Amino acid sequence: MNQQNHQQNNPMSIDDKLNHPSQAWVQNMVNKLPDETPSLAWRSQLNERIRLEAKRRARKRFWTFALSPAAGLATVSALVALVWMPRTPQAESVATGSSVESAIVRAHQDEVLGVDVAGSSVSYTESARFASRVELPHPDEGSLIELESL
Amino acid sequence: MNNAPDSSFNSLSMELCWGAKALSWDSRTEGAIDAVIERCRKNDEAAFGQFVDLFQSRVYGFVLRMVKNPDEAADITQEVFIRAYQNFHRFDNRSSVRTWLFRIAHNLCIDRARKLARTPGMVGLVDADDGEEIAVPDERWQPEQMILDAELLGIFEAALAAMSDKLKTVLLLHDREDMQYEEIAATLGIPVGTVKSRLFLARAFMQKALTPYLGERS
Repeated sequence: MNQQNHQQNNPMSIDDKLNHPSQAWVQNMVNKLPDETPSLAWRSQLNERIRLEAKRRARKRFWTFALSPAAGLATVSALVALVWMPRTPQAESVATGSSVESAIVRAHQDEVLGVDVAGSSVSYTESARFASRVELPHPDEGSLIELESL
Repeated sequence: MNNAPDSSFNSLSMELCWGAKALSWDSRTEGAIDAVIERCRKNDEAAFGQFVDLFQSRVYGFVLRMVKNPDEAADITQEVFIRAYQNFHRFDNRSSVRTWLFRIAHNLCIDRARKLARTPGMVGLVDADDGEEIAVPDERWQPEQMILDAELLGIFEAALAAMSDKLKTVLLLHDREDMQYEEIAATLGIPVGTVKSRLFLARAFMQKALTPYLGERS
């Protein structure tokens, strides 16, 4: 009873409680618990896992190094191709038909071809004559040498 | 009145009987470990092997006393070192490597316990976090004469196994691994005051568990 009264009048701090001799005994016992060493088989298995992890990491580093400039080059190439790629005309299919639209397109193409070959002062009929006689490899590739051969 | 443990109850006797190996954590040890850590951060596999040599027993002992199953403890301990190896480059020396390693071990033990939906062991005493004050243990409690044998060790380990994980973690980290309160608080992510309360409760729990055995022996 006196001890309880004493404790109530002088409450101990947590540090005082921890430093109590009864606590020190348990502390000493726990401190001296024996070491638990894993088996050699456990250690071999761990070594193997670490080796595999090291290989995986090395492979990842290699591919990151190898692919990063390649990825950059591919991106730049794609952008260049998108910006600078020549666009092919899509009106040729219209010109092969027999309708009014196809006739108009053909006439236009002939005129363009005539102008490319002979110059801007050539009339429509003259350009058509040239176009019918001259078979140029490409409508855009005019050649004065081929014209002179006619 | 001699409140200190019995003088014949000395550390050398305990080591001979229990086969314990003391690992004193002094400045020389710290310096050697720092060199190993630096090499580990540069993915030096050999250095990591030395790192495992330094810590495998401590980590395995801690994990084994947390999960109680040796196979589980072996798996978890391997996972601790694998994660340490994977993340060593991220270790920035803000805390000690021991704190960092035991934090990984503690988290894995907690994860494993949650996965198994294990019910907590017998607590015995109420955690001070719940607001209940615990009485001061009997000052007269002092084991007079101890026979340090396998039987006492078995009883001690059984009492430890019955303790809740919260109390056991703090008890092992402080009294077994010689961590300071602040280090334990950083490892577990709890306030220093909570560390002290749990440590006090854990030791009181062990006293309560051992008293019947000690009463019979004396």
